[in-house]
Amino acid sequence: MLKPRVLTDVLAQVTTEGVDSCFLFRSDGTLIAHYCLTSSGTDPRVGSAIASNIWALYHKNGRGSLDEDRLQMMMLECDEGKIVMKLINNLILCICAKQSVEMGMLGKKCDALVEYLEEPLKKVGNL
Amino acid sequence: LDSLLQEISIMEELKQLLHDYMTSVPGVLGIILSDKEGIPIIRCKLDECPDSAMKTQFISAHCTAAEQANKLGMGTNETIMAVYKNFQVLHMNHAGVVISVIATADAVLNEVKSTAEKLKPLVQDISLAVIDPV
Repeated sequence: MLKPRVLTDVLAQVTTEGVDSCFLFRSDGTLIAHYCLTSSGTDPRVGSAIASNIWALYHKNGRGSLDEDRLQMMMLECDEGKIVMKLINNLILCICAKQSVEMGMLGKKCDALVEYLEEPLKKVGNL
Repeated sequence: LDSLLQEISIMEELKQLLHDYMTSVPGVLGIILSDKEGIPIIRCKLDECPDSAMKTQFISAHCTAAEQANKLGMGTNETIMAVYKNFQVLHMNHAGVVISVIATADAVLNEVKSTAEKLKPLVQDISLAVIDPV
């Protein structure tokens, strides 16, 4: 079974050096686990719903316009921060960071988490 | 008629300029400049680029995504990069014009992003023609 506290502790490990929060959610936007270093104005559930919407848009686009191509990762740059999203089994991992964090570092942290969580999440079955 | 011919030649020059930018970076297949609603202003692509990726439907999805991204509490969205299994897509918003770059999965994403950044001065001039007069 999935241990929420352990999962949250694992997500918390990337929240260093400018990384503010880490979310794990289903493709329909349902939040599974999250860790936020600071309390932000955005509700994590709302944030994960919006992020999953963005993912779904590009996923659908890829299926329709890029010869049925499969979306693997997204990177967003905003005025005040950066976001990286990556597919992990049927879930989406989303890491948010300050503008000062380099995209490459954010991407590497995301890759490391995906690699770490991929096998354990497979064992849990359909989430 | 003269001004129309002049406009056509300017558009051809612009397309050639975009083509030069495209061919300077390995893996870049297409560049589209569009307004914030996804209506293309100018398009340039190589043969390997899927035709459906140059259509309004594909580009306009970014507009919805960018609007949603603005609500994430991280300020205004500037760039969205999507990495697929076979392709990479970059959308950059600058001065009311959206720069879309389509590249192969092998292309170096940072170089693709630099290509879009280099287009910013050109886009700045084009944006004067597409922004709403208020």
